Amino acid sequence: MYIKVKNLVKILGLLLFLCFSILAKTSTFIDVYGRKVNVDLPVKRACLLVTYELIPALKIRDQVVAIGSWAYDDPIMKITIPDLNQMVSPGVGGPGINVELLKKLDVDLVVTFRVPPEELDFLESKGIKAFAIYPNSLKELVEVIRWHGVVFGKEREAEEVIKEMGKVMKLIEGKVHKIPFSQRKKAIWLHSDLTAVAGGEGIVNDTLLKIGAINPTASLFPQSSVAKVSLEILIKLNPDVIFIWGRAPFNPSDLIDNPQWDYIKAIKEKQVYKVEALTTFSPRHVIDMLYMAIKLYPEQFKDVNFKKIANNFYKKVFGISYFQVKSYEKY
Amino acid sequence: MLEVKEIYFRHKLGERDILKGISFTAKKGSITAILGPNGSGKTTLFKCILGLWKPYKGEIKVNGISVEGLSLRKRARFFSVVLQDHEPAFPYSVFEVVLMGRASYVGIFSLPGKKDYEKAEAALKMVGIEHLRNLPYTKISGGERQLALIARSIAQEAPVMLLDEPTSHLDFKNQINVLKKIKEIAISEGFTVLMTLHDPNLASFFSDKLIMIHSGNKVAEGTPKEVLNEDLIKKVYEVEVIKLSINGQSVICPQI
Amino acid sequence: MRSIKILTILISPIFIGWISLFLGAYGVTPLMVLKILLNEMFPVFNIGDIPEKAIVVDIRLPRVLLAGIVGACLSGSGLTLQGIFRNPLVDPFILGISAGAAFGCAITIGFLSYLPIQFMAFIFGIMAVVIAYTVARTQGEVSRLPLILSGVIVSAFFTALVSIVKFLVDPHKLQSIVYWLMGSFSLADWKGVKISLLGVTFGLLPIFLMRWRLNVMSLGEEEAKALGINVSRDRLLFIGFSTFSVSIATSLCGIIGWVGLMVPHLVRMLVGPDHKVLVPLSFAGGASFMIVADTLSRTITNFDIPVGIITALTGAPFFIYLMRQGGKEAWGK
Repeated sequence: MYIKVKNLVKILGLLLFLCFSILAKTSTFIDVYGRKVNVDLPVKRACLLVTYELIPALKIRDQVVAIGSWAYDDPIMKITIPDLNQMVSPGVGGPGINVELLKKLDVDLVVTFRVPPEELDFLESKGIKAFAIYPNSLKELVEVIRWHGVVFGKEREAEEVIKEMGKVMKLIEGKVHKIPFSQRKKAIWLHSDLTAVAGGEGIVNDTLLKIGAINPTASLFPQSSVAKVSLEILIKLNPDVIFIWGRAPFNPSDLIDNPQWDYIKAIKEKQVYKVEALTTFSPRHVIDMLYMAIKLYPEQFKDVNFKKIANNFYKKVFGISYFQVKSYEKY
Repeated sequence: MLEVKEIYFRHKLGERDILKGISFTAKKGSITAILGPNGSGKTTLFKCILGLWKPYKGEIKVNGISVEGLSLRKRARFFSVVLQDHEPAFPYSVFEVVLMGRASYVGIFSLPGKKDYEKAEAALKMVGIEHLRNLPYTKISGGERQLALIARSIAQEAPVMLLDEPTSHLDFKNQINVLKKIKEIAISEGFTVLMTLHDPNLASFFSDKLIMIHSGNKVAEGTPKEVLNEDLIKKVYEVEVIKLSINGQSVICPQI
Repeated sequence: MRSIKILTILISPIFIGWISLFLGAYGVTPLMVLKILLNEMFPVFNIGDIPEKAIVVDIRLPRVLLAGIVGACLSGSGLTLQGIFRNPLVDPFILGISAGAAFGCAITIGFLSYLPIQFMAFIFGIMAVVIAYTVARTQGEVSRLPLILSGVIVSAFFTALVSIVKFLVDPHKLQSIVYWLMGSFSLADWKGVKISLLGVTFGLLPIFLMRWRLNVMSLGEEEAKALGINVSRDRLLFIGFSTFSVSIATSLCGIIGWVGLMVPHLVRMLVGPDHKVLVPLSFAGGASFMIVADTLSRTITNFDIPVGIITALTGAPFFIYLMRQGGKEAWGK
């Protein structure tokens, strides 16, 4: 019984690899505020306040102990996480985080969106690592997902998700590319309020760009991600299509039935749509993108089977059927 | 004609009576002064007659009509009051102040009418302060303010006029002028005037009747000559005095 | 001269409102505005179905009207409260009525969406002022500082409650509450104008009719009683009517402060304390002030600034300036 040298090298290599894997690494990351956060990898007891849809996507249920309270009414979460209601939440997806709960759970990393830096410092001072994210574009969203892969030790899963996202984005880009600029349409995005529009900054603006829309608010509010305006301005902008945030407290009928909006082209032609996703911090934002692109340029996308693509995406990324999720849609 | 019968008053959570069965009468066109040291119950008696406080026993009648249980509005048709000079919140003009005497005649959703304006004008004239009518009430002298309040009472046209220490913040000249004016009006218009004063002499110069209150009891009622005597003053005010008489007018002087 | 001042203030809202119709982000030419307005009364021009018409008639006109009516409500209520409490520093905002009404609205939106919001707004508006008054009252009258303090506390309390409701309810239903806590006319429409007329009919009109009574009430409880006024009843009526108009106003545009404090003072400084004249002038002055503030809020930038910010920013310094000039005189000192 003798071992071949070649095999010995392989075995040694494997042993070494195993050693390195088992030994925890500490990495330093820089968040959206430029704060340096040291994290012991992989993260084992995380709190995801806004990127909770990555739990099913990256299969990290065992590594997350707390979620943002917006997760509870998220259909994807309801379907993929059977014990969703048993999961605890330290608060709404934002300020006023319950620090005691985080300490009790021995959370090793909190991923939050762009809350005031004082709150992050406060968490740090209590010994809780907090990392703030704020993807300003699709590209940055992809980076955020990739980063989650790194900190949770699920790089492979993350790349799979990104690959699927890339497929959809490429499909959209391919078709949009062919639309001449003279035929491009104006689209606005209404956020939390009937007169709160997405401005020239942020992922929404980037989304509109990528689906070949012209965002007329970009020149008026180049530095705002959301701007509160008067009705007159909305009429002046006269968009061809209006998109509404999935979590907005109003629906397309609220606009279409309101006589004050009658002169907006989008209202006249009933081109008002509420997107499905309740959050933009998720891989499925690209499905919203596809939906928006199809509504914006139905002619160019007429050969695209949205439901098929969506279903395929959901299956690959979340392991569920798109139609399951659709049944949860409230309106 | 004012009749006060056996008025007893005690505060809601009070331990003892502040007024212990006060009775007196006051004739139409006369001036009655209520005398007594601080804490004797003068102001309390006033508030009971006005209806601001409610005696638990006793009766008050004006011209034979009991004022028991009358609404504030109806009561205002019987009694008008000139309270001690106070801090006014707003600088109403003298005329506006006098006009407010007509409040009980003006409906809640109405404005004062022509008649009300006429009565206010007449009252101003009677008191002799028409020249002050547009001045802010806060910018006139103490004596003029008292006259304005008297004009307001006149405009109110209530048969009984109550004045609480009408001279306490006035200088000597105004003390005389105000009291003279009150006497004039009482006689010419037939008001029954009831006033509290702390100075027995001043009271005796201008009143037809004096009533002395001591610890909630009435200890004297009568003409100034009858009521002002040294023993009574000593008992009530706890000071030694001598009574002098000059040309039929009695005067009380401190014994030094 | 006094009558000229009075007349000017009385017609100012019409004048200012008229000008405001010509201003706005959309950029309608003055001639077109005139044509459109005339056309509404006598359809002579063949204007056709153009967006400018909607801008002027469906957006600017109701917004200006609503701002004017709300301004009148807030100012009239402030004047009334100052009179019955004999306190120069009270207004519906300071006494907590606005916060109470806002809480009533929040509770309705969050949990009782089958009710009209004006209902609970009124109930909690009344509750707020009753609490403030009861807490401050010792014996007989309410002295000035305690009333303001208790009003501030009540206001803080109800504002906190609004935040709690926001927290408990789906946070996005009340997302716009931020703008609501600062006041805004951005969604003003004809429906809102019609509702505001309720506030005028059952709030401002009674106060207008009772305005001479305010003179007597402002003398103080004892004196008013001695003059034959049923003070408790009348005070309740005045509080009721002012709270009603403030609640209606708050339910339509959120919490707007300062108007009820400043405009009455301004008017009093100009024409004196007689409420016979002050009440209608407060309405007119409040209307003008509010229209100006709202027009500024929607024209100085591309953003629609919450109007409460404008009233605070312009109002507070202006008020300080006026107080130093001659404010004390208006209060008989």
